[in-house]
Amino acid sequence: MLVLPPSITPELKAEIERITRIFTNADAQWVEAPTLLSAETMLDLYGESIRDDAYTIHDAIDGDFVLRPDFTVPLVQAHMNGGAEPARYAYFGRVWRRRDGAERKHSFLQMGYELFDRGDHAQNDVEIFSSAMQIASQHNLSAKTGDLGLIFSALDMLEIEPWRKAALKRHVWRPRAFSRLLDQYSGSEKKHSWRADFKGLDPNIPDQGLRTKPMIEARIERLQLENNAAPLSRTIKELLLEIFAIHGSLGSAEKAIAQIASRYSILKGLAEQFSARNEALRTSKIDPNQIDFDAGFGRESMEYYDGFVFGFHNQNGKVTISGGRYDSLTEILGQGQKIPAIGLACFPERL
Amino acid sequence: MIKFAIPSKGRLQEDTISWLTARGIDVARSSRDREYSATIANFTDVELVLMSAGEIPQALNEGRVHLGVTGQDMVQEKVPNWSSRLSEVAHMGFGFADLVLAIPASWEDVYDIFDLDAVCADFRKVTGKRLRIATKYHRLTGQFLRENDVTNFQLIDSQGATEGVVANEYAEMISDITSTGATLVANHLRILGEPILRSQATVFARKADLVDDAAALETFVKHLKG
Repeated sequence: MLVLPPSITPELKAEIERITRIFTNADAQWVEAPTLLSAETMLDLYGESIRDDAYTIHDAIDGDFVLRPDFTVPLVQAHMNGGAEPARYAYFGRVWRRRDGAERKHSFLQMGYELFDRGDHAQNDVEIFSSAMQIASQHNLSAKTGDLGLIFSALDMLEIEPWRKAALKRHVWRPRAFSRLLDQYSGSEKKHSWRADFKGLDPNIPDQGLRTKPMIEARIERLQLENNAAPLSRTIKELLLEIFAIHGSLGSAEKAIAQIASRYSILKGLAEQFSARNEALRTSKIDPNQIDFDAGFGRESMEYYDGFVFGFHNQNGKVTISGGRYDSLTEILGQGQKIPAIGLACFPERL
Repeated sequence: MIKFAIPSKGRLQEDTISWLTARGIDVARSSRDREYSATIANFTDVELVLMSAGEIPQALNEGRVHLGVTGQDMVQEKVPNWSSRLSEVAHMGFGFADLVLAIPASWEDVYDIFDLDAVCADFRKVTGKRLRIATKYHRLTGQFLRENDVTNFQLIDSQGATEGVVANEYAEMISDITSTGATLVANHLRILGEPILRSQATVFARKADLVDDAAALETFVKHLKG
């Protein structure tokens, strides 16, 4: 069974045991993850910002490692490396984050539960969310949900040029950049005019680095095409903004999305997905009208969530339980394979 | 005793001593040439410590000295969350330097930070690699790019002659200190957008609540501010 640190208080021990039972009752298989993770993988996923959050450790021969800042990445890697399907994993252990003067600990305990399953999406979302609700039930926590899948699916369903779609999708996690792009595409912000009369690169300037002249010329050609493209329709822009602005409860959001879908039949699938999850929640005795929802929630957190997301905060405003769907992460780490996945993490010391 | 660190050599030291002299502070260099300390005749509870300018931020951060002269770039790069422990006492009007992003002159498609983000994404897609930016200012550069929503880049460490690394193909662009920009132009580089930081030599002090002899520190700081 779990090995607990000796300094642990009886209350914390009881809480960890209670959460352990929740995961074990869900038939989760207990797994371990390495403490040192390859820095290269983490940097490729999160970029340089991981260096601000995680401790990096240097080995003269093998290069950089990071001290495990989270369990999700190593678990996904292990699963994609030949795990059976469907899979439910539970874990318990320590994670480390840099302090750099911030008011928090260097390391804390994390427990979590991840579900890899090709079955019913709505059902899986609710399985994970109700485990989170069970953990939260003994405490005074405020829950918030969001759904990044709304915006990704809307972008997929709407008639938008593929290059605009790709750029908008890339910026879903960066709200400022997303709205700037939207303004630019819909014509309320002009791009540089110099590109129209571009005559070719100056032959006297040498190529430097690995970004060579053919790459530069290819981008300029693309920019010229994009500059001449008709602006994105106001309808689509306003529709996207309307979807982002949906907030209230999961119940009221369902109505708002159904209302949008009644005006734009192309988005029918969106409303169906959302209703299916609410239906599954009701079956599990969770009232969607009692759960906070904000379509923008989760856009500024780790950029791997791409579907249903949730977070429970304690009275100090600290994230105590959080989780969500991360289907595309499995594709990035799966070297060509992918599987729908959703998980939750909780920090028992903050409960 | 208040410990006041000033640069141990070169132009920065000369300018610092003139700046102090102009404020009526008599700096007497120790008679033995090799000794790295000096005294202030008219402030007996302030001891001067000569230190390499690059080490002064860390000495301030750890509390080994209470006051110090160094560049704003150095403090902001080396001391995380610096403003919670240090404050700026005076901007000294010399040692000006801008931390800038510089790109190859051949990048005629890149005019602002949004272009840079698009280029990084494009570069990743074509080469499978993150675009390399050589710098010794990892914290400042990383923060700036993150605040501006740039992703898909990689910081490469370069402790000197950074202008040359692009020509040598160690990196695609750089983030470095420049005063006139002439070296950048000579290396076929062009400054992108506004500087990340405009820096000058500055007197930094530890916050009063972190110093034992806060009264002595305050008297001296008041004098420096004039």
